[in-house]
Amino acid sequence: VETSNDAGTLRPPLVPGEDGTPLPSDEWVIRVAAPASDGSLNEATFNLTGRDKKSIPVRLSVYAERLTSHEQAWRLTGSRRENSQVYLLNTDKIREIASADESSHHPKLDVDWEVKYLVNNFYEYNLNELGERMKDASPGAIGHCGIRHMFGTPSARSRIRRELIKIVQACNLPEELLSSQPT
Amino acid sequence: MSQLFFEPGIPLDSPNAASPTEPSQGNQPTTFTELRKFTNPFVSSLLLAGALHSGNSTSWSSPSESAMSWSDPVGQTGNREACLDLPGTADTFALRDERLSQLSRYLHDVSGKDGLITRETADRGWSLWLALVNAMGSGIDIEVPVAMAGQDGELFLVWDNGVHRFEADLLPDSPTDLIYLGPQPAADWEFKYKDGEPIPQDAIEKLKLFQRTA
Repeated sequence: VETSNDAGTLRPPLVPGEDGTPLPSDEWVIRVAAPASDGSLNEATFNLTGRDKKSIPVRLSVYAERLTSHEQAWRLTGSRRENSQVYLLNTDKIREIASADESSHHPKLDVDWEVKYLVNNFYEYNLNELGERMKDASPGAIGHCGIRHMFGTPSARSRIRRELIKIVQACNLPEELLSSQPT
Repeated sequence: MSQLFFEPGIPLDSPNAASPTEPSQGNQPTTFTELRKFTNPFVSSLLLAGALHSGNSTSWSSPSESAMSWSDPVGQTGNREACLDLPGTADTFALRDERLSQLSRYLHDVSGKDGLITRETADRGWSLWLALVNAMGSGIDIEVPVAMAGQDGELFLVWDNGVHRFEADLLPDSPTDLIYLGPQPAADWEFKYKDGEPIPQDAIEKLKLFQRTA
């Protein structure tokens, strides 16, 4: 399905790339979040999770908005009532942010496609009878991707989170969804 | 009329409260006597506001909720004056109470079974906030931080005035990252803080950048 961007230009359908390949320019990725105590945007939502740190390479989990609806992202991340917001980030804006990579090989953040595999509570891959990793077939999982080059010292990561929050466009999830039962 | 207790069965102003002990940094007082020993009167006001949970992890109460039970123990002991011996007007106290109420309510709302963070992490966050306030010493009153719960059980307490930033990142089963971000990365500072340790002097100096203005 063709869609139009903010400028009204028609764009071809978005097709997931190979794991590790970059998302196209001017796409939007989403991450669910709980507001901060004063109602402001929550930078902690951009903290790398244990699962993010186990992925190779380390990537902050996000979803391409054209392949994953807000509701699907909310369900894929645990259907928690506190997660009442969705943060949208433009891939071009993300790629303008300085990375935590001190080696300067990757001076800016990047956004890659990342196949979403099923993992257990210890972030170990679930394997099928052939010993292969099992893809997550949940609705919307196809849009999974990751923000790279965020791993660094605590202060470096904090600086990145602070920059990410500046480019966020936030929207509230509907109350009917938040009060619904997990599916 | 309701009473406020810090230990089950022992009223704050009870003569049977535990014997006086000097509170150490990072340790919460559990009795009113111990409470009086805190160097920063704001800590006392926090505690007396009922913002500190009572020791029972299921009985968090926000300052606004416990305000109804404020007057009795404070009025009887005459400690209210000491608690209010701080710079600021009635309006600034009201604003601070509102922010404290926000913080306390937030910790309650996002913690517990199926919450974003555990009660233990919420407890750690509140205790650290009190320890930081107390470490500032008498007469130095810092802003109430903004609390942020992450997606992996972490809790951040953040002070940010647009130029300077101080952050306490509480991570489950790990030391807390104390982080300062300056106007330039060269000024950045970070420290692995273990619960109960003295607050590092560097952190105290950084937090002075976030003093409340009357």
